Amino acid sequence: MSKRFKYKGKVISLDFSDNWKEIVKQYFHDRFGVPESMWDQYKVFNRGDELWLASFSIVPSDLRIVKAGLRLLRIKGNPKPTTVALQWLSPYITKNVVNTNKETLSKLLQGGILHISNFPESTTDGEKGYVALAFQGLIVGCGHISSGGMVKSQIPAGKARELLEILARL
Amino acid sequence: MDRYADIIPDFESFKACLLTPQPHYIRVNTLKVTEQEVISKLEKLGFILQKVSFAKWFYEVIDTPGYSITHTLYHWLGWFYVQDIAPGLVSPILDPQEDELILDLAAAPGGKTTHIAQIMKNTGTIIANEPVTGRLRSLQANTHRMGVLNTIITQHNGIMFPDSGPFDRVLVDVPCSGEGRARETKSRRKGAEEGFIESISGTQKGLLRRAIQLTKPGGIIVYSTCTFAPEENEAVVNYALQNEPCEIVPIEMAENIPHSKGLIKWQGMEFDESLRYTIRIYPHQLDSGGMYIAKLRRL
Ligand SMILES: C[S@@+](CC[C@H](N)C(=O)[O-])C[C@H]1O[C@@H](n2cnc3c(N)ncnc32)[C@H](O)[C@@H]1O
Repeated sequence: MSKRFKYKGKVISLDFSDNWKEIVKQYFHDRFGVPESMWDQYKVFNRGDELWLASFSIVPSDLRIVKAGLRLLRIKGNPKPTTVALQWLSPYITKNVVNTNKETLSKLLQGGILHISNFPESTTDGEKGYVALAFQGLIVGCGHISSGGMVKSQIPAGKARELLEILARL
Repeated sequence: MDRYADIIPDFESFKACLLTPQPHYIRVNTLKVTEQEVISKLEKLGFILQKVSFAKWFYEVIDTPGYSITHTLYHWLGWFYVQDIAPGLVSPILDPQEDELILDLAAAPGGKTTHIAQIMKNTGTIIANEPVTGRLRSLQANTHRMGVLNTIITQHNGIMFPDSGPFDRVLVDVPCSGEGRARETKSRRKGAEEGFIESISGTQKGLLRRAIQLTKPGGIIVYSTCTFAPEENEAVVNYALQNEPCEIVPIEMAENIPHSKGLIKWQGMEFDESLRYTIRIYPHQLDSGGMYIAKLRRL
């Protein structure tokens, strides 16, 4: 942490410990096939039950910080990746991808639940857990498969609405 | 706008231009994709794009398939930012270097913040500040969408921004009367109210002074507005030259970017000679919105 932001003799830092980065590295590697080297140039910090990604080198003290970095993973209980994280990792994700088309994605975005057999060429064994929803070869967000093989969207409501409007135009 | 008849070259074309629709431009977000990838996907949808020769990553939207380019999957995924070419000149003039510490004192909705992050390849640190709660949302959404990771968003009145830094470079893209956006908004075509110009210039002076104070000696400050009023432009920079330790750095523009020089006098006021090295961008010259840009060095 640079000392340039010393203010009244104090430097405040977020918890950027290597343990957090290790959790992120392993989780995205094991679940989505993301290469571990992907994270080398980034920092991971913890806030509450969440792990966040950032690349800034200095954290100022005495500033009213509203937001910093990108939310990656909720670590309470089973780790849950965020939609933005999966979008950001899109080019590196090779496993647990559920391939949607206009019709199936629209249904999911409207709160629908569909069996995994509706998604041909998906790279998942259909076991319970979080998956990456893909459309036209691009990851658009997070989904979940329940123990019965039922797929549900986890894309936040506002984002889901925007995406639905885009699909309607296609 | 008639008060500018003597300072804006070819004033009749200027006025005529304000009645024409402004072209749309996009800046491809190389933090997420390559230019080739974006352009080929957009062209498949039926958009026709033309590379802007003098502005890296910028393309003019020549034609659309009947809907806005902001209503595409690729916009939603943060593959590009819709940004006019005139404000698109500002971040390259700031010229942020990788690993530097940058302050963007008036940042929402984040057009320039995300551009700076892209130039820095997500390295170093940007403090992007915005006091207005309602506008913080757009700043957060845009930095998120564009995959910006080197930025910390803060909420302060820029005039009283806490002691911090010192920063390598500070951008002060101030609130202004917005006359340069007259092509987008009909109501702006007659020019701003002089009372408003006078009151906003006080805020602008305060912001620029604070920006200079927060910059390290030798560091760079860029002051910009999207308006023509000299009271909000040269007069503000002139005031800073008189009250803070700083000097003008001439802006070097490529020859193929049409622009005008800053003024050294206006309605009986005389400004420092060096203000001629600041720049004015007029809509009829660049086929864009309007912009004023000054570059300063902290002494
Ligand atoms: C011209 S806009 C900035 C545009 C932005 N830089 C971009 O490129 O997207 C000016 C901003 O200054 C903010 N502002 C107003 N008063 C301010 C103050 N006292 N300190 C800092 N920012 C202020 C406004 O809310 C507005 O978001």
